[in-house]
Amino acid sequence: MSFERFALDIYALSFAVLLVQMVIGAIMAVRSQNLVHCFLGLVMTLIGVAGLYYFLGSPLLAVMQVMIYVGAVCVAIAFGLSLTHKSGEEGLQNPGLRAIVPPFITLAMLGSVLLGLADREWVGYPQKIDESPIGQMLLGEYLLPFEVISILLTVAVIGAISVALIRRRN
Amino acid sequence: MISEITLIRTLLSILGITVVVGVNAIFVVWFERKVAGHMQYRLGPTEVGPAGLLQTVADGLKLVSKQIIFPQSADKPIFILAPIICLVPVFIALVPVPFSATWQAHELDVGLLLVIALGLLNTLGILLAGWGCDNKYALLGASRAVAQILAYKIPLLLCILPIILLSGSFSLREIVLVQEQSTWFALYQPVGFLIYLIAITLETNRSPFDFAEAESELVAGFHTEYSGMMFSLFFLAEYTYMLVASAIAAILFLGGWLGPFLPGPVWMLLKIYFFLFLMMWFRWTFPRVRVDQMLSFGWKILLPISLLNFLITAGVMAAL
Repeated sequence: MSFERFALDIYALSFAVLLVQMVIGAIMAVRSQNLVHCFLGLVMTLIGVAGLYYFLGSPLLAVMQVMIYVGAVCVAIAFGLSLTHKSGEEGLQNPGLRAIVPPFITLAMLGSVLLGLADREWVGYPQKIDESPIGQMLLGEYLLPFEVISILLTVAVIGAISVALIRRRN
Repeated sequence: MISEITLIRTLLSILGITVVVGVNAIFVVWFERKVAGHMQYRLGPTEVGPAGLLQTVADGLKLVSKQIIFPQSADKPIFILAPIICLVPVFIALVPVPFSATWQAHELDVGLLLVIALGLLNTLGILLAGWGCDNKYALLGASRAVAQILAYKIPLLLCILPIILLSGSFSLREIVLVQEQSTWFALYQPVGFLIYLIAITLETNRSPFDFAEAESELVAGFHTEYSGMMFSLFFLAEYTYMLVASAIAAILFLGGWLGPFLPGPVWMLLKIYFFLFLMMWFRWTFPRVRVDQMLSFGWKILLPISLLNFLITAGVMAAL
């Protein structure tokens, strides 16, 4: 029985570490004066989200989160950052009264999500879910939206190339 | 939910992976110096231990005892984090790798995806190292690393996709078991195999593609400012990444642990070190190419070929 207890403690501890990492990362991403530190905070939070997916029993989503957000998006941001010359130390501007808006939006969103989930069953330790329906849905029922998104990406790539070409011609 | 057996298994796996990472680094550094020596018609290390085998242990002790120097203008948290971010992902990437039908830390049905995703995190470590130490050689090395990863990750993924089509699974274990029924995927996918070999040489920053740390141009690239144990963490990460990439190559193309007479893990290790030897052979016989040559080779030649390879494989599979 002590083994069981020990294992549960490890489980809870790793979950807590993940949450702390996410919160610290999020605060760093928003509050840091240094652009590189902001970036690092963003990466920490995104990896934390991947960890949450894993805890919720979906390794596929966790891996995809790391691959797309950390691997692709963050490396692209990083590449962009290494091409800029200022390290972003202009500092924060005092937002004034506008600072009240974000907490309200956050609380409203959190509240609506919690209200929506209120009548669901509470599970202490989620089991691994079957992820194969994700692929079947994407290539069956939701094929059209899936393809439209890929067209959007193609348009974005073509746009980026044409912007670069115009700049080169001038 | 969590039984004693899974817990003991997890702890043993962590211990096992740590041992594999350490012993592999010690062995591969020795092996690399021996290979380099013999290719240049000399002997390599001979003094410490039998055939110089303990040379790396001695070097490791020296590195551990050395002072870690922080550059004055370095961004300290990033400077300290960078080598750790480099090492941890490749360490975790060993988790889904099967060394035989039963020797595997944890079976994941998305194992291959996990290894690919963690490979990208390694790049992030290199990038942060380049930024953190506020040195222009390091920054140049790091931005080259990102450019080359962006150029070669896509052909790499495109030559893995046909394997997934052939085996119908992302699980590394399943991919080997499918090859038990048919034959090595290298025979079905010779082009993919070749592109994979080129791409992993690049992924692991090995010569002839070692732009991120090109000694003759950038001093030591992204780890110019690192000393002592932090420097050796980068090397540990690089050699572990080589091990992971070779293991994936063995699993995807050469049937993993499958082979006659010898037990599974022995075959797996033989195949892994065959790939490692191949990468060393590249390093000590090819001169470094130019950055623009490398980038245009990746985008203009490897990408179309691997895309074509994928389309042909999909077409043939749909026709059969």
